Amino acid sequence: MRQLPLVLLCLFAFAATAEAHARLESASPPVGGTVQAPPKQVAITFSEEVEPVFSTIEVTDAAGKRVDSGKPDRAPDKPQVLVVGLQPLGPGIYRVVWHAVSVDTHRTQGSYSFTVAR
Amino acid sequence: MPKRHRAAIVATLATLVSLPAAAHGIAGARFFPVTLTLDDPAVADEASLPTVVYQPNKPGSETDYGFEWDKRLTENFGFAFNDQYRMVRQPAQAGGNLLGWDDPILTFKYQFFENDAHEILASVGVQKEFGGIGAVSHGLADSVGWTQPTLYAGKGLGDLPPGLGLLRPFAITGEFGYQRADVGTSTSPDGARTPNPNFLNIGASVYYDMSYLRSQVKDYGLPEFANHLIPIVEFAYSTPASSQYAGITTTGTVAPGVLYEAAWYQVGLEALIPATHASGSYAGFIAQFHIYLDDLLPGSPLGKPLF
Repeated sequence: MRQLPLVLLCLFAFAATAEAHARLESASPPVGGTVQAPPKQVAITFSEEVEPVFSTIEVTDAAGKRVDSGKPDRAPDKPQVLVVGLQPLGPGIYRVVWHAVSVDTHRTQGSYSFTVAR
Repeated sequence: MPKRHRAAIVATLATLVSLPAAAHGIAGARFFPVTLTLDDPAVADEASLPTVVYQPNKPGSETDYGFEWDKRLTENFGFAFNDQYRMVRQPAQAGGNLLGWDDPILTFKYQFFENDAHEILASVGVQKEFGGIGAVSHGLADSVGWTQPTLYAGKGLGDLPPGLGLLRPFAITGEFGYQRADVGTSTSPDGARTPNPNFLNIGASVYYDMSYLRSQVKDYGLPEFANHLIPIVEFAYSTPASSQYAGITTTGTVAPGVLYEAAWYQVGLEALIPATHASGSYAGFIAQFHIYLDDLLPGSPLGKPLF
């Protein structure tokens, strides 16, 4: 039992190299947010580096029509950020559905909405 | 310490030991965290080191230091091994302090159902306590073990309609097991025969996932620390499976608290509030440091299914 603090300290030191499931930390437009100007892209920042080849971001309008440009790319010099371009958007509610594969092959998914104001 | 008080502590803590905390799982966008007083519905590669339970019962108290290791054999089938070191403090006239290991428990679990759209996980398992291995002579372990088939389930509320968005981070989990003593009756040295009771062990948890709120519902720009919190309340009960066991009644705890979930670990702290008269008179606490081995050691045998 006396060795437990030392064990935990070693774990934290070792964990500097740990990789984990990629969770959404922030997004632009923000999750559940409203933007005044139509965005040109959706950017999602994850908690871990993600593999763009195996990840997807799909954006649909209220009618379910795809409005994204297809395959997402990793943001330049930001391996934790995936970006997908958007077609010109009008006012309304849009849904983002994402699937991410982190560099350690863990899969995560999620979805959220954002609104373009009138 | 009066015998009845010590029996209450033992009964309450036995409820927790028979419902070990274990793995987290994923169904769709839902991460099911590790719960502290009951098992969650997933199989995974994880470890709890330690789980600390403190239960006061004046003039004495008990502190238990537990550990658990969960290992996947295949993607949906795995086992868990757990035990705890018990430290009972009581006045000399009541027998003095007692130290020793409890009996170890081995669990096999199979995750048979997953529905990502509705955030549902369900598993079945068998828990086995190996009686007679721990500090039986000190009264800290059982001479007779038990076997418990168990059903586990969890449901996230992410499929609620958009109008109920703020409720979507909620999730519930449950556990139901029938604990059957390996030997129905024990005979003491003086020839007295005592039945070894069977129990129904029932647990449930309700929690609100702040990370889910931020990533699936609405980002309120909260401090990053808050986005890792999971307020939770757990309920764990153990009740005799029949009315033939004189003097044995339902025990249980209500455990409100909070979890903090990070990339490769989770920290949990919950109060342990006696839920029945037989469960004792004083509140204690349970704390746990939990490691997600699939995140800490993803490429190693410890962090992925063996087969």
